[in-house]
Amino acid sequence: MSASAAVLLPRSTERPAARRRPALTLVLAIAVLAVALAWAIAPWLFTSQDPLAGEALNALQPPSGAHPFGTDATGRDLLARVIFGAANSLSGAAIAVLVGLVVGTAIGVLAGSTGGVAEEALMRIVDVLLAIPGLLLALSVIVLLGFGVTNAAIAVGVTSIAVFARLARSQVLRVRRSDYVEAAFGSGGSFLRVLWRHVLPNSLGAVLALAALQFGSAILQISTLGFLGYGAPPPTPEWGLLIAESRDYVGSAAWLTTLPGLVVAAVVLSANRVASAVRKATA
Amino acid sequence: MSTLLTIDDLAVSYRARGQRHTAVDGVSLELQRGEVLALVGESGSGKTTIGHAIIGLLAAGGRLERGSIGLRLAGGGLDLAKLPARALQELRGARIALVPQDPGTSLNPVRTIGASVAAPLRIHRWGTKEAIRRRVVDLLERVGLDDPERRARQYPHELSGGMRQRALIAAAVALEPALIIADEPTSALDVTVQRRILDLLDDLRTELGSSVLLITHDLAVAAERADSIAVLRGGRLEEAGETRAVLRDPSRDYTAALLADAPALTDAAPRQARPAVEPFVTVEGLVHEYGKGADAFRAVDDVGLGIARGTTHALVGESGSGKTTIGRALAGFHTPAAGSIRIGELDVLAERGSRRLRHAVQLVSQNPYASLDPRRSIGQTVGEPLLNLPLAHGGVRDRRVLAERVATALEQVALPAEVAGRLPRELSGGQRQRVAIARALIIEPQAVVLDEAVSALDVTVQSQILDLLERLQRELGLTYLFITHDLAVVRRIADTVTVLRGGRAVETGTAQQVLSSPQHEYTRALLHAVPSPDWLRDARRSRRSPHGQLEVA
Amino acid sequence: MPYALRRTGQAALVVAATFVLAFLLLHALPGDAIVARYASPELGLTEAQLDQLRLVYGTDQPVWVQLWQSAAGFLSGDLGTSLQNGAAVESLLAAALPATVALASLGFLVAVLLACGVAVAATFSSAEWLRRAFRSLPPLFVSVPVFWLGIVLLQVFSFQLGLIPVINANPVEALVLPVLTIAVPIAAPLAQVLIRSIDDTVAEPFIAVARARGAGPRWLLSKEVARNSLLPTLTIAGVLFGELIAGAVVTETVFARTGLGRLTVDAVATRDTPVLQAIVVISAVGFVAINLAVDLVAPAIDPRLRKAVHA
Repeated sequence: MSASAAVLLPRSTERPAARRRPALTLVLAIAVLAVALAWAIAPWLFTSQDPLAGEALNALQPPSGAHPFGTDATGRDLLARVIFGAANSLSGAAIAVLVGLVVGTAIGVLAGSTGGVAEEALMRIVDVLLAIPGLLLALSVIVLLGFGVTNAAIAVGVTSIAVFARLARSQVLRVRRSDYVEAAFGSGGSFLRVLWRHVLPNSLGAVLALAALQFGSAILQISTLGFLGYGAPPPTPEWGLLIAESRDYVGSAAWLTTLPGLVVAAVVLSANRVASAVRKATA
Repeated sequence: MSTLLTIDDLAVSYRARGQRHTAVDGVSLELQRGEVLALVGESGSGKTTIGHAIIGLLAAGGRLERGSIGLRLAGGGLDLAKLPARALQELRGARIALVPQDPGTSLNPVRTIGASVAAPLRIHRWGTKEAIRRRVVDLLERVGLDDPERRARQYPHELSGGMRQRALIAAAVALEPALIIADEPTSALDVTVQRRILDLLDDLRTELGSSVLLITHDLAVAAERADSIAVLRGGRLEEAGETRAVLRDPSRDYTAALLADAPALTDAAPRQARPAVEPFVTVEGLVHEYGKGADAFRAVDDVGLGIARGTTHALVGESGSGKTTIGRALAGFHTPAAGSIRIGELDVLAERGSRRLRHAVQLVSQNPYASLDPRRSIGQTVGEPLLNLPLAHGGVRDRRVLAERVATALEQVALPAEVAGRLPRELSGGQRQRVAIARALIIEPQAVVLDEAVSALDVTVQSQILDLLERLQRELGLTYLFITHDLAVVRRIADTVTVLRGGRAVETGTAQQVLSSPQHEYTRALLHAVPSPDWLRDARRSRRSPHGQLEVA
Repeated sequence: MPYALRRTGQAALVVAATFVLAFLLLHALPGDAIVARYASPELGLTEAQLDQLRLVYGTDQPVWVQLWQSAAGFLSGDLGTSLQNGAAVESLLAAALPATVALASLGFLVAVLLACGVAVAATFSSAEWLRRAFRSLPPLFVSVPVFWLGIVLLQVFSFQLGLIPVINANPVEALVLPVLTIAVPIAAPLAQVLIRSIDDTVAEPFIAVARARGAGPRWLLSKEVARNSLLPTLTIAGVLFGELIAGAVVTETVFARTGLGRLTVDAVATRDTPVLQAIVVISAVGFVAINLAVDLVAPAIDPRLRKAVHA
């Protein structure tokens, strides 16, 4: 049929022009993430100040040359606390994404490739996970596991299982319906072989893009749990907790909340920017 | 006679992936009042871009580089290329109308047919609400929709493709435009519907005295309907002139090649019937239903056929005729509700998609863009069947043997060996279809189901693939079930034919019999609907060289 | 079976399953809630006293009996007893609900207005730079921590500009900043979805056909695009409801307001599982009800779905 015409839209067969210059925003985003990652791995390279001990005399100093982000109520250097906090926030986000990615994708791929009763059962479980608002689900898991950075991270990961499962399943179903998978079965491919060779490689691109997106959102959610007091116990430097601790000085020491918040926003924004690039690349 | 539209040295460019490339380059055309000008070309020829440039709706990234588009209306001449956006908007729908390509997606799905047809009238403030309502009903009646009052209240998904195209034509002619741009108006429709829609466009043009710019890939449609013709290739004008003059005596090789490659009903006689032998592939009493209970839809209803070894049997029918369902059942992709299918000694239904069956029969599907895994190299794709099949059924595990077999398979379909290292997106549509054929043939099946395997390709490429299929059949003794909607292709490749309608076989016989002296009324209607003016046949006959193909794949 | 009935049954099933999950998560799995709550040494309760408490709270029963009792209680409107202060959970919720409903509904309204405005400006502005500017807003605000935004709003409007008093604010003044804070995390994703579905619709061939009929931007937006873009947007209504709950938790904490969110935070801090369970189940009911409503309303928006409904 001449649905052909739609198929035959002029498609250029030429290869994309030899390595195009990546967008400036993407370069910036990668730079921000790289700095944050370096903070997490080797924070002592970026500050000589102690994140835990402060001098009471130095309390609540506004940003200056010696203390670029100022100091907090006990005289600790805020920049040092932000830098040392990166490890908690980023590793937490990584754990959260890993939990969601592994469990969710396993459920989704299983549901999408088996079908039938197994699929129904798995997707009803996903419906239930989806029905509980994310923060409440995370709080329930925290009540179950107890407070702490790792537990908060796992809790955030649990909330993303449903999203990963849904996406993975829909991708698997999409690829399974494609002509090339039919052709693979037609050439004698067994179920597992076709799954491994064609369905998974073509399904997981979108799932990886979601993982990148979830990384940013996990940082936000972990910082929210930290802010509410369910993450790291004080005086551990953690981004959400840092902002929570400075709330009492909101009228007198604005930098205490503003600057750490800006750092969080910059990192999350960068993660999302990279995620959208990943999505485009894997589309 | 006076000129309505004068295009002079038109150039249009698009920005894609950060680069500008030229889609239309220095095209000049003239369209007389009350006449039809056909823009003919293959994909990428720029024909649609010219249409969009005239109506001032270039796709995102498109830009008019130079040239003028003169439109001479009663009130005086205008250059559409220089008209401010606002003024052009006033002309659209009122003086220049568009009949779009795909009626399936060209109507707003959440608005009624009546609302869509009323849109140009309301946009150009034609009259009161009540007057517009009455005019819409009149228009729907004029374009041949039964019960127009009810149709006006229906939604697009409740209408067939042909009815939707009629509604779109009603909207286009609502304000009696001077120029109608018909962009592949029938290429998404069945051939019998195509004829009726083109007839309707002709009638309306005569009635309103409008001019039509007919954009089409189908030379026969242009030959039958257009007063003058312009042949485009790669954004440039190959030649233009009075239709018969151009097609009888093309001045350019490309036009001649297009003429030679376009399959036509009126070419040399179809394949001669071979002596009847025991059929190799037999289908008996095939029945298949989709859905259950009261909603059940019988897609295939008691169809039987036989194909002799080494011959081609064509299944012909319009959409919904059940031809694809039969082909997929033969290839073992689904189990019909009733009936039997045998390939040689093999009981296809009992095999249920076994490796033995895969070794015996392969399927090549319509869309070469969807049938290749985008992440796997051509070599991997072509070699995969050998890895899948057990050694007893032609499987290969040895890497070196595998590479040799892949190279041989690519050579068979006339692709260079280095293609093995490329990805599908680096290949053209014709090349991809060759790859799909190579994948099907590498395990040396006895039968191949070709489901609209050339329908998505440009005619020059189509012709090459058909040649390839014929050659492979001769060399390898393959048996083909060739599924198509195109009777002209049937004539070119089939030994025997079954004509399907609504799941039933209405006529079966040798291609010679069915195409030359059809017995069933529906077959006659199908044949009649294929555009093929007599003079074009003569022109083609006199020119038909052994094969005037161009390397364009 | 009629579609609406079948769909409602499905929704009820999800609610029931959610109830079981919440129960298992919060009641059964941590072992003994009484031990968790009262067994700390400083309370100095004897084993006999703990048994007494178990009897009072019914935790001496097998899990499935507790589940059954709890479910029966929920169905009859008895949501259990707070472990923290012995009050009936339903009365705690009833006291907290009005303030949160006021905050959330106002926030939602503001968010919808903001999102629609941004989405239309991002897709239909005449100047490209304007479209780009509006397009960049939603991703920016998706990346901002909500609690931080609340604090910054407080800093700017109350402390620096002095527009809204921190203490002794009247009820309207006291609502302005919290409503803005809760609106942002709703508006940003909503605007993103709106922009994407408008983009998708605009790319459809029927839009080009409408333009070929002489339609201008206003006609396109109101007659061709709006309804087609509405449905994909409605499908995230349930997710937005979840965001609204999360927003209430954070906003009420930042602005020290009473309400459901505050109740949640306190329940988590004191491991008051009956309260948390009730909040989780009620939120799930809300989520499921919203999705059910969207599914039942969808055929009215898209005629193509009506056929499926009858089938």
